[in-house]
Amino acid sequence: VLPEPQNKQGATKNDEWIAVRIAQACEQQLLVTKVVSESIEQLLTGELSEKPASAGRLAAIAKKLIADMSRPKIDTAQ
Amino acid sequence: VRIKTIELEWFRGAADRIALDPDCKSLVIYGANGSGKSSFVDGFEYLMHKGKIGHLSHEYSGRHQEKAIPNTHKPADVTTGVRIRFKDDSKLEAKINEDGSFTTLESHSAAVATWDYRRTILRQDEVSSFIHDTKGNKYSALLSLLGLGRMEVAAENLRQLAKSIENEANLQRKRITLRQIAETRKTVFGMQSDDEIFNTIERLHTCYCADNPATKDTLSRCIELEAAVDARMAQSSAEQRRHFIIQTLAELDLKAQISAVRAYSLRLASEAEPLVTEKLDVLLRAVPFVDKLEDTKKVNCPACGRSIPAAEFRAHIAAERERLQEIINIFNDRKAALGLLCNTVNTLKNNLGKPELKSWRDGVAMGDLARNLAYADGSNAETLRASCNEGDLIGLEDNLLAVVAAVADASRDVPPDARALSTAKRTTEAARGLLKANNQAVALQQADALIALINSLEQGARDEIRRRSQAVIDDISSDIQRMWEILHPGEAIEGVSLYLSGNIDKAIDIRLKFYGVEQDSPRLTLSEGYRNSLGLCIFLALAKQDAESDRPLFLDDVVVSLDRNHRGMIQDLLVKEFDARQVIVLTHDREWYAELRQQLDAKHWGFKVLLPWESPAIGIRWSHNTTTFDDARAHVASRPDSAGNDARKIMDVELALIGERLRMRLPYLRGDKNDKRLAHEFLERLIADGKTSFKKRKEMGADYLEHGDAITAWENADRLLSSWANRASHSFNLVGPEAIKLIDACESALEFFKCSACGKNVWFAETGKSFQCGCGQIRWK
Repeated sequence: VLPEPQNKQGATKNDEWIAVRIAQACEQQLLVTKVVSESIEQLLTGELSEKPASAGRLAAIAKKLIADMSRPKIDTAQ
Repeated sequence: VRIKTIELEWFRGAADRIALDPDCKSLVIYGANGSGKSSFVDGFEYLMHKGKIGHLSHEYSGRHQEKAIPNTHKPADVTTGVRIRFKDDSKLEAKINEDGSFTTLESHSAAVATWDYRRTILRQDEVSSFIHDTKGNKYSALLSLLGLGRMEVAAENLRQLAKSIENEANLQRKRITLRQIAETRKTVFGMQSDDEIFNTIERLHTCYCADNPATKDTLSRCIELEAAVDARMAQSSAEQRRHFIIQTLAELDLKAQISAVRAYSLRLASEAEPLVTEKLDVLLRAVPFVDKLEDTKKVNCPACGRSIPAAEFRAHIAAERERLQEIINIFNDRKAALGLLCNTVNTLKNNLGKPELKSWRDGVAMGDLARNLAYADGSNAETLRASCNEGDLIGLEDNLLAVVAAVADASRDVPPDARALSTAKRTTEAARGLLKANNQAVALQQADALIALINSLEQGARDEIRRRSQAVIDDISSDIQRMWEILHPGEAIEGVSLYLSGNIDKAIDIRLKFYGVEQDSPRLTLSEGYRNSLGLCIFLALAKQDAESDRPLFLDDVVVSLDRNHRGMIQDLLVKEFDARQVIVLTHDREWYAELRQQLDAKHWGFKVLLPWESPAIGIRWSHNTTTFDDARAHVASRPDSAGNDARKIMDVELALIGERLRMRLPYLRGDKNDKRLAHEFLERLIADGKTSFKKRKEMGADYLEHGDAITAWENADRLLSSWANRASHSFNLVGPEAIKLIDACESALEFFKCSACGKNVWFAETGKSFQCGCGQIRWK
């Protein structure tokens, strides 16, 4: 993977938007559990931003997120 | 990063090893057409693109461009190669094999392969390519500058993840199952509410499961109730079991289910068939218009020919998507109805085959039902599920409805207790299905919420990309505008900027104001020369974004279509904006080269001249001079008149520039003649003024003397130009020795402006009303 080019403004600050958007999106989707929102944030700051994920990997992530959504909702984000 | 040398060996126009050695400075290279200038740029691109040169990518160049890269007359025992040395003495080198494959030797600190061609090299035929490119390609050209690679990857991964969740959660199948359960509920419970249904279960539980009064949750009640009913049925007599079966079959709503499947099939046919026809027609007509969406804000409707705003066109597409989604919903409804019908056919077949019904079957088989019962026995629910057409539905109606009617007839004899037990079983099964559906509905809602979250994040990523793109684009636009103003001061073309195009993702275009009127594209009003000028500004603005990396730039013959006035501004642009960068300028424009040589600071800039190319075996050669008189010398043998004429043209240009630098005063001439002075006019003035103004310092001391040698050289050049050069121009009657003498005289005349001690021109430094070289050895006052 080539190094991320830097623009004139300096650091790319690529990941700051993720937490903000997840918080906003969770306000609209009350069924989304905290464990799911945390998993997605971790994925987005990591592997999902690094390279295109394979179909197999995406299927595995999907399965885990579905399973996490059906956990007892004692840890809801809101 | 600075280039010290680029060496070529039997590479493109080069024969034996030849080096371009800017020695980490910027460099202007003059060479006539075909002299081999671009071979050095090709060499750099070859290493940058790991063995590929963009303009050689065509069907004739071979798989590895082996037919285009080596010199056509390369001897068998030598190697084709290219090598770059950098400021830190690191190097990058490629040895090219006969088949075009190559081996690289590298010890270089600069990762040249990661450099963006579109911000490093600009060639003559690429100057306006950015302007003419599609919006998508413009976006791609800027993508790495935007620094949004991670976000682009994230957005695409999120899009694919939403699809994976849809697949992994089996959402389509769950939706169909829920529709089936809803239909069964309607049949069994009518309009009863959940509470009413649960009360019914509670009542039945009290009746059949009196031993388990403590069970409170409805699902457990259903399970216990089902077991109790089954146990009672198992304990009953064969006669009673026959009643149960008949009652079960009598309650099958086969007619309604066939009608439902038929209704959905008809709806699908009425919606889907014309839609598919229409879509095909529209798609075929729309293909030629798709590209136009890239370039204009309006498209002509393929159906009526009217101009439609692109926004409306997009809204239409959105509406069509909704319509297609509705059809998918109908497909799902039909699948659900068909599922229920298949279950019923299966139930009918299985129950009709039970031994308890044998006596009833034997009785009715004596009559007309024999064929219908045989049809029921031969039915296959799975085949029906996979493919059910109108013929199958008619077959079911003709055969099975009669069987169900006969069973319903027989059910009149079912005793009340057996009827109640059968109803209890049906109710319990339906209620259990309902509870299962509730769980499925929750799973569906969760999956939908998850997908909505992922979609929202994808949209968030795309919004963020757009926001950040705009910030970088504004920055680049400001550079473009500033550079444009340097090249076109005071002109009524302003507000040149890049912009993200409408609602289309990944699309960028250029706009400007032409005499105060907003233009969505430079192609609407700008001439080719202006477009090239703008293309140059865009390239330089993009390249400027790499300021921190300090990479070299190559400008290969980029001023061809610019007129003298605008071309003359380029050195201002280079000095103001790229003073700290290494710029390699290649040109075949002798006049511009002379201007650059006179005006650019020799501290930062070098100047080199290529000799005209003679043959593949001789290859590229450097001139020993920085003037362009070797161009003239190259013609002496074959066309001495042309050589003499060239010498005169060089003197016209060089002396005009010198006259400007020394602020010589010439009498005003009316019309164009004032701007088109000839060498003789400048020499005449130089000789007259030089006797008092041009001085040379005495070898010992601070006094200055008249520079007699210079005056003599100018007089000699003026005399030969008047006699021989004019003859060369007008009568083509000049012989070789005369041409050589003329060229030497002209070259010698110009050499006196340069100090032999410090190497600087006499106009290097200005002090009050006088000019002098760097060391003060020569002076013009």
